[in-house]
Amino acid sequence: MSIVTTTSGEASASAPVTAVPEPDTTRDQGTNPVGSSGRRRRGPNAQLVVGGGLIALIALAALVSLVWTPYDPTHAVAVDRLQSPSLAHPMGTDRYGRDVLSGIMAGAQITLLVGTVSVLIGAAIGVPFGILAGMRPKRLGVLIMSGSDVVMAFPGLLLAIVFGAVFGGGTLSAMIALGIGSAPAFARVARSGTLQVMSMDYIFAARAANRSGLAIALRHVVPNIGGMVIVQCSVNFAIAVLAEAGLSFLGLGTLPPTPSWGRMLLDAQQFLATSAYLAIFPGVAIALAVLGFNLLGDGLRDRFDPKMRNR
Amino acid sequence: MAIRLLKLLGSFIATVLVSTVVVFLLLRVLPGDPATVALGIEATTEQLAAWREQYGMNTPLVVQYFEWLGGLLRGDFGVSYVTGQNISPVITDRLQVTLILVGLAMVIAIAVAVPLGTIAAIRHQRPSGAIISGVSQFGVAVPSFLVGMLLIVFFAIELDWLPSGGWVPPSEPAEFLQHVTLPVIALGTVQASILTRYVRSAVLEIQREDFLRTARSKGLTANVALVRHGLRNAGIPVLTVVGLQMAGLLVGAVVVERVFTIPGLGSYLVDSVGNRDLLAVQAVVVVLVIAIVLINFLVDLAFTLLDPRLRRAA
Repeated sequence: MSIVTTTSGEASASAPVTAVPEPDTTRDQGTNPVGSSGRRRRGPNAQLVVGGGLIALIALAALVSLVWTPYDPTHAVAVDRLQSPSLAHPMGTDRYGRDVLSGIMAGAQITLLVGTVSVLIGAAIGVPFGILAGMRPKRLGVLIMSGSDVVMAFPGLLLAIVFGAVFGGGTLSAMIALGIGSAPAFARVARSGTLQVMSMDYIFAARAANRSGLAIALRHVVPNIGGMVIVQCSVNFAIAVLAEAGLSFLGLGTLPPTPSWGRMLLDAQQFLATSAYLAIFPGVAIALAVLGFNLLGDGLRDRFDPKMRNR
Repeated sequence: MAIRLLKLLGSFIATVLVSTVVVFLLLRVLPGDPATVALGIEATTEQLAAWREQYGMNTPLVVQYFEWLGGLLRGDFGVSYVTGQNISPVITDRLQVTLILVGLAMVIAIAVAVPLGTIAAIRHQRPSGAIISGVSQFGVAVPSFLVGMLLIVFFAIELDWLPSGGWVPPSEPAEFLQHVTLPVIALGTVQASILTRYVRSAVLEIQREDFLRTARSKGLTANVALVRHGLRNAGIPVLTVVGLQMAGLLVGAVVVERVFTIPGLGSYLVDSVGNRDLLAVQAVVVVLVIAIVLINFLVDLAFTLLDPRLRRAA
């Protein structure tokens, strides 16, 4: 989460404080716009490498599970129920005899799907509004950011629970709710970057050359705020992974028999005394996914934002 | 200053009002008929009409909204059509439980994060600073409900030191402390990790400020200069984050409440969603949303009052 200034200048939050990269408390207070022009050619930093590696591992598990898992993750085998980790079942089996490793591999699909779709929805709503608010900072900008304040009062998790009440639980409603809930974060980041870009000399030159607002937005604003938006994507991906796990744990996210890590934790709860491994493996998977996206966000921010270097 | 404060207050009231409209519409423009949802598909037409009359569902939507808003202002959330209970006292009781959990979790988070974050910043080029940063980075990634489950495994099941769940009110202090310890640690640990990173970042930022260099040039040691002049300034953004964390926790506590079977507001919300008790869902959501907007308002207010630059600008 980054601290950003609201339309009137005071500090506010761009997203619920649930998953954070290295905070940048000065992001809105005069840093240069970032993007291709601001990048320095450097080797990848450790956070990028570790974060990217963790995400690549999860993506690989998801991809492999599309064509192969050790066992059918939804197939119950009564005689194999609650087996401890062994060579045949490296992460054990659950109360229905389903292989936990297969469930975790298949669960990676849902994690990546929910993260990707919710981030895309959030960015698709938030970024255009943010750019508009930055390019028309007076009345329209104030109106847009006031609307953003209202949406911010509905954190993604709360919105997803409400959607669960209205439309019934499920992956789709969770993705939409988390996406809408993350839109204010994108709007604020985009507005902040746009305000900085709009004060640049080349914008005055573009205006003098009679370029339309849309042309300025597409040609000058979007490329220059791309770095900020990509960092925000990584942050919100981590938030979405945690929120989806929480929703599935509450029974309002991904519905059975589709494997999901949060649901696996819910199922594990009543076997904590005898089979704690049922909670540990999906729990570690969630933590590694969130860690991966947070590290990636930190690494990208470090790369894009000159003020964050040497920390 | 007064104008700025009035603007903040006006913005707060407007956000609350628009939020109530959103909550109202979200839960009234349902796919399907609320009367059928409440009474089931076997209900007769007369029963459905009587139900709509009883719950004021046969009046125009605008009238329904203002009646609901009026009830809200009087603290009357109506009667649940699933349990037949008056919703307001349930919400009052549940909110107290959630506020106790969230409040204690934040106390723990601040008590852990402020010293650790400061040390991590002062020693950011030494192994101890790197270790604190690394641990807090990992702590941020662990879901609080997983921490809760692991705490249950070790402290309730293996060691049998503390109960694995349930709730006892603070009027019985010893029992209360036993029951509240694990859930508060579960919530507080993750928040402490998040806050540690913000404190570290804020202190690092402050260390580069000119006024700290001036303080050191007057003969103060780095640590004394930081304590006397730096921490107060670093506290402003940190206070902001604390407020935002509290707002997030009000909703986020729902999952930990389920792990420890605590009768908080979040548990009531999830139960109401499961029962399709839409009036109760509406009531809980509006209370949470108003609480979040209120906390955001107080954060903005504190920021304005505490930051000399904003104070002067006002």
